[in-house]
Amino acid sequence: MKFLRKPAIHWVRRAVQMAFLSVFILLAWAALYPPSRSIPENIFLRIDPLAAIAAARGSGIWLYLLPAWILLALTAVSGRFFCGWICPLGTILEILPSLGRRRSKKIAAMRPRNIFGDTIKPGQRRLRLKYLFLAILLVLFLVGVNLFWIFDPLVIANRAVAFVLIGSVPFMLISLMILAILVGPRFWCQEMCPFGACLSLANMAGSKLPTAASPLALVKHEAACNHCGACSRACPFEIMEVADSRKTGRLALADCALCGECVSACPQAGALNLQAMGASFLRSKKNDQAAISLGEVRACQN
Amino acid sequence: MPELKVGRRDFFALGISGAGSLLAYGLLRKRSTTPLLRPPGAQDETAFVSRCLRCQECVRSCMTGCLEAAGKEFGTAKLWTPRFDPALAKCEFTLCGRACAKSCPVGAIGNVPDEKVRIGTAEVTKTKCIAWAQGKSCLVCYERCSYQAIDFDSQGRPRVISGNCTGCGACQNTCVTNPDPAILVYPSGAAPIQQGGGGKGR
Repeated sequence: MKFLRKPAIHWVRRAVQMAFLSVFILLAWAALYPPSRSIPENIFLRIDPLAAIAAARGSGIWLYLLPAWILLALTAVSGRFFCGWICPLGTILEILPSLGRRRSKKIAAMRPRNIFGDTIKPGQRRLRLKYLFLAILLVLFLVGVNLFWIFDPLVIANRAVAFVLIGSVPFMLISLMILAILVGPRFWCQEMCPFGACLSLANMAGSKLPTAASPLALVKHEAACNHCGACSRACPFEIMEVADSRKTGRLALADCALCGECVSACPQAGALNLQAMGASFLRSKKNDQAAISLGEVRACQN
Repeated sequence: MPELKVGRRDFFALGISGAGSLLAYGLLRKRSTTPLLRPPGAQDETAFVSRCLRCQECVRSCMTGCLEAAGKEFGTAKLWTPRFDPALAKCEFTLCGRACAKSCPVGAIGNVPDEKVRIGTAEVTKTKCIAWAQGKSCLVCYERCSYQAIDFDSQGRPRVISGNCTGCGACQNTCVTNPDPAILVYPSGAAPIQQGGGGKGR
């Protein structure tokens, strides 16, 4: 019953991630001749904003890359749900370090963490270098050097499948896996991924949107929060702003993947919610009895 | 005004970004303009390389398996771009319905009409061809050509009619002097060195 310590939303998300990863691998595998008329086999590459930028260079296939613009629009009104629930590379990088439990604990003690190790003042922000990274890539693209192929997560994953199928070694994926094990499961997504930077920028653009209009939103009630920091410790993306924020309402954090781990970890009833169009569907400490019967001792730990 | 904190991790990431920029600079400098044989409709080399995502969808979708990911030997800037290799198979662009162009997510492979496809031009390496070098009679490339791009001179030696040749690679793929074929497809613009034995035979 050990696995039940993790909240239900964790396993729901894992199931969704694995389903999307399977679909991604199946589509990459099925991209053989003849091209399917009914299934868009390259749909994962077409929802990629970087692919949309690359295609924008003197071509009239905006409509073909409509999925990318739809993803950006959805991200603007909700958040980086793609990264937390769908992205195949994110799934691999997030699950892989959690498999080797003993080793990763040892390394976790070694690696430079500044979550509550340092004193974080309210409102303090960390610099995310993925924006600089994206800017470099865009400037290089404008002068005619396309480097999206090195850093685009969906392309890396797609190429890895193609290379494994022809018996070649996917070096990019392996190096990112090593990075995830050494530095942190979502280090790539938070600090480097230019795809994630695009989505974060889209999310910033829509951060003023009211909660009721957002299809998926992380909502905080400041009055119920005791700033214990359990949310930030549970966050796979290690976002400190959840605990630090003094805001009531939709948080719309640029890097939040809306995974719901913080909501499950929160010991304060109703301090954090996941809401869809203003209707709360996941609340912190919704049912204390159920949590206790599952062996939840998280409140005692704090 | 929220203050911005730069931690150890940020320096680490900055280091990686710097390394990435240096790598990009290296790629900029090393950028080679020598064209490779590309899928039909991707003959504008500069435009193609600047759009291609190296996702391998075209390589996977090819009917005959004539494409492969270009290795390091073609330059870092072209690493893993799709390369047409007639040694693997000929390109059947009139039959496959342009699976590579359809599979490309960024439209880097254009869908030009069949009669305008010019992947490259074949050229006979006269020092290797058994008809040219040894005076023997050989019709293999002539028979395999689907575009009437090969005829013979008065002594029965094959010549390429470059106006008809589409660069489909059937002749190179089937030449009896394999694995070192005496007729090679060259990308347009990469003029063969005549009598010098051509480039790499692969």
